[in-house]
Amino acid sequence: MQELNSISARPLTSKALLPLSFFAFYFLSVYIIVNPVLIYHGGSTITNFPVFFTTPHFLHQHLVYPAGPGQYIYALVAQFFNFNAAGALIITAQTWLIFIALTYISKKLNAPALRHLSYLPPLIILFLYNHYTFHFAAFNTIAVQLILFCLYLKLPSKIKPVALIIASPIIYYILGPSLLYLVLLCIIYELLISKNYINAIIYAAQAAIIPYIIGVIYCDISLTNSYCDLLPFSWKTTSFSDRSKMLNFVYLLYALPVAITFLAGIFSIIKKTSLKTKNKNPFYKTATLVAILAIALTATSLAYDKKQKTFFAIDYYSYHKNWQKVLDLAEKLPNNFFAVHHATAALYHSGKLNDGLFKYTQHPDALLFSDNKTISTNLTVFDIYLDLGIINLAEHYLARNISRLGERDIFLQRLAWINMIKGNTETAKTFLTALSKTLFQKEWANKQLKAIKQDPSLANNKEILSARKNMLQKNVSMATITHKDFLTYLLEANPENKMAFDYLMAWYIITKSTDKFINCLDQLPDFGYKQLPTVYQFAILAHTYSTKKNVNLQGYKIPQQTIQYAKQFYALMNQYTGNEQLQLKILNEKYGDTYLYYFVRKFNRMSEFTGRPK
Amino acid sequence: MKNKIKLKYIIPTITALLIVIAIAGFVNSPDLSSCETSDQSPAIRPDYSGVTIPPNIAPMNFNIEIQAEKYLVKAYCDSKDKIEINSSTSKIIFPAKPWHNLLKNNKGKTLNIDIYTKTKNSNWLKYKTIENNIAAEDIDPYLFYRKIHLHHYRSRENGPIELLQQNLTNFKTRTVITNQGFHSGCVNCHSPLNHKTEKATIGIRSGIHGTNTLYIQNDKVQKIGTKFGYNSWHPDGKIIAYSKNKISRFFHLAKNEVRDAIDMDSMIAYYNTQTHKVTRINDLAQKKKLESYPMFSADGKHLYYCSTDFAWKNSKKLPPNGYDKVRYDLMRIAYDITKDIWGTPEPVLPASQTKKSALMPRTSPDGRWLITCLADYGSFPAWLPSSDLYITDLKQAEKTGKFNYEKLSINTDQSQSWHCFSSNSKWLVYSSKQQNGLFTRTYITHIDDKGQASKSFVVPQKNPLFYDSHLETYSFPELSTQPTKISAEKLIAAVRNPSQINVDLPITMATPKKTSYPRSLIPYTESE
Repeated sequence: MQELNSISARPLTSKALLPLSFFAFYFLSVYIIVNPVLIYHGGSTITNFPVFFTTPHFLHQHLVYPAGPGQYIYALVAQFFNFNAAGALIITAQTWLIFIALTYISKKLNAPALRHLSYLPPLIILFLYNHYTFHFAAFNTIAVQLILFCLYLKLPSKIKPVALIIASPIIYYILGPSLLYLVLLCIIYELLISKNYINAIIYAAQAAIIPYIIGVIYCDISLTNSYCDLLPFSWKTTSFSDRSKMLNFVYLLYALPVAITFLAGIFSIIKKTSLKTKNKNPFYKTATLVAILAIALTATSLAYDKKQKTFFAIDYYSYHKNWQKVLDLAEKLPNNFFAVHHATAALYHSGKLNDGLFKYTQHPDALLFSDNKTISTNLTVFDIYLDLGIINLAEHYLARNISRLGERDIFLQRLAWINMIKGNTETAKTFLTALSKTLFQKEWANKQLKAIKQDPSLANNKEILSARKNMLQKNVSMATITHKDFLTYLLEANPENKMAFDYLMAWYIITKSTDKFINCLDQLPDFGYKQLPTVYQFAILAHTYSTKKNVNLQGYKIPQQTIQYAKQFYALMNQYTGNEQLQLKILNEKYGDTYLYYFVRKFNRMSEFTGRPK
Repeated sequence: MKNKIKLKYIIPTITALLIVIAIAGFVNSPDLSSCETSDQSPAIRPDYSGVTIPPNIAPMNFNIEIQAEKYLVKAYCDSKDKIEINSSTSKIIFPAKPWHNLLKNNKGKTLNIDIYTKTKNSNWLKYKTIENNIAAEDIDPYLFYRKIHLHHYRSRENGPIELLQQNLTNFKTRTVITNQGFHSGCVNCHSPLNHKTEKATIGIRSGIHGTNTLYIQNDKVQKIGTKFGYNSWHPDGKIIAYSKNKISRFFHLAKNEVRDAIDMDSMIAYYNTQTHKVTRINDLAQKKKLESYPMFSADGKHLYYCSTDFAWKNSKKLPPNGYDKVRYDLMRIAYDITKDIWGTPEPVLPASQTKKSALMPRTSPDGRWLITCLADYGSFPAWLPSSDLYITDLKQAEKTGKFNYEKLSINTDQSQSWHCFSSNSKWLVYSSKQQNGLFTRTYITHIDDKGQASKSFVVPQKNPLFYDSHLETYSFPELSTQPTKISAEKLIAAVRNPSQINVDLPITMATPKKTSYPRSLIPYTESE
């Protein structure tokens, strides 16, 4: 008896070993490469990441329409993307469910040869996450519907129609029109495998009727939404470019189970036999499969969109003020305004602005975004305005982000803070109360609510007071103001606003307005400069070289070493006069990260700017 | 087997005991014999104290802003009806039926609310009684309003724009139409005829389906191939006067309210619901003037509207120079519907007199009152904290020939706008940002025979703390005696249907032209 057990256990272990190791690596790949927390943050690109509030009202909102309960659960689960390990676990579980369902379906439909196709959906899903798309609802929906189809297959033939007819309205209520997908699979099964045409007709009829009765008539929702919500074919996905990215792969994912069922059915008709695997050497067979899977998984993992990931990571780390990470990442995205913009902010916050400014490809448009430049990008650029003191502009961008990306906690937190700065404590309380109903920001929100209760004017909060001091006072329309005006007005409001001063100097330097930069040198002592920063030294030398005028250094000194370095630069430049292309190439090689080089090169447009890598 | 028998008896016994305990706890009033009294008025949220309330209003649930272990609330009048709520939480939810009985049986009387609290190791403490007046007149039971996120950007991937219907007597809310039904877009100006839904219009703007007006007649809906901006039905339902506005938004860098909007161009025309023709009103479509916010008087003999001189030369600059000096006059023009003849414009509240910009005039259905927003400048009061509501007695004006105006007591230092009378002219609903300065909520006030407004109150919600964390604005309230009779699906189908009533606005020098703006400045034709 013991012997028998060990015999039957052995193949089971070896059978399970392959998927187990596959999903273990899968988890690691998601955890290490995808970083679900980046998806949670959204890179200002993912517009359909669900919000979740712990209020009864939020729950009730989801209970009154078909697909609402499903969306509520999806929204709750999605919040855990905020933790890399939990997010990776969710994605792995999602794909594992699809995998076991497909394996079961191919086995149950007597088509074991197709079971290896079960590995394809996890690979597709990994590929999609690796490209920072978010089709979470579609993945969940297919996973649940496939499990339900497995249950359907497991039922005795006589019970099948009764069970489906009874369960359909419930499934429709919870998961919405994705019921239609389940019904489609059941119809194919009944037509081609069971050959029970009456069942197929009944299913088709109920699939047509249920959404209409529950969705259109009872819940008064539109015909399209009644039949498409939660499916990847819904206009809510297809109509928005950010959501419809790589949608064909999602369609492929949805087509696969249909194809497996269909093929199994067709083969059962044509050959009257099952789709069985040929009897090859089992070792050879397993080894081949392992090799193929290993290659596929590695390839999919490594085929991640590096630029997109860097972009998402910059967005994430700059929000969380991890400046060193931002600086490291921005190097990987040269010529991208967004990366340069955040790198510049990171340099400022790390106290390296005037030394490392030109390590990144600067451009006047990257320092401070203006409204016209970012109208369609909605990037998370609000923090720089908040830090500088252009509070209304930060508020404007955040409100836009809420319109586009939803009532995400990451935005509510900033809006609450902005209103605390502005002294709008009642408005701040509204945002904070909403935030206190989220999963991860409630502690901060409650702390601030308590602070407001104790001191409604927040007059004892040093951070708030400092931000208030920096607030822009001069009112003008956002559309008409220039970058220089922003910074000048900020200094008018608070002449001690060091960030505004440094940014104004950076603006003059980046726009090559060195005469204006020189005029401000006398203010350096006011901002605690004991010596001239490297970038300033080069800017002065570039100005002197180009204008042939002496500069009043206001008591500061430029080290001989720097002067020698500049002389070498100009000597090299003069050496190649007449051949501009070669001149710039050579200068770039040696002096590319200095202001001297930046000063002589023409402003070139950075590679087509969309805010995000394409 | 023994276990089964035990369970058979134990479960029902425990259940019965629990029910008895629950009933006993519910029925038994706490012992107030040693109760102490306080002179303090109890703080409740929303502030439902000292207000005049409609006798048909839904339970005005509130939260007691006092920390305690136990709460007792007694609501009573001088009749036998009384509600007593014994609660361990500060949220007080009135039972619907007793609430309605209490109000219905005590019209014109005072509704007293006694609040008691009890903290650990202390006696019950009774606060000063809250006294609210129950008016004799009902409010129209249906409130239509628009729900939208803070309006900064055209994109609507998240947060639908919806036109909702709320039953003021029982909280029931339904979606009349949502932009989620027609691939996003905008749902805006909604206008029922004479406080009924048999005839109504809804403005729609969609990138895919165009900018249109849904014209509803009972359960039929037609799409008119133009959008009515601010509009007003003639009381006989034959024509709709509407303004065609080129509204442009812009954003302030240092004002507390970031958003602002200005009419770059506007004119008034009217649509004949029988001939489906649009006709220009010559005096209200002048090249050198901006005319907006048409509103018919209750008898339909006058059309009130707002007008100002076209003040800038450079229409491409946003905002144009001197935008903050723009002040609209409130005007009116006589109209004879039988002959379809318009009279001569006459000033009602000229800016030279008010020193303010007069906007959004609304007349009461009984013809007695005219309420207008007066703001420091501009054309869009919802974003102007200086916008307050002023009342004019039209009957008196008829006698004296002089239009006086008086500031209503309900005004706050935040924006008041989008006001609407009830069909009996006794109630006024309006949008106000008084809660926090940013999110618009709908408030109700009673207007007495002298034109005095009672202390206003926010539209009750089942959850008294609903507004505390709600991040959408509720604006443009319209009262109706009837619920909408048409399904959202039908309205959406009409939006999607390519067939429409084509109307052509006669092009004149005053017709707002299509101007190419920078992308960021694409003008909005409607807003919050």
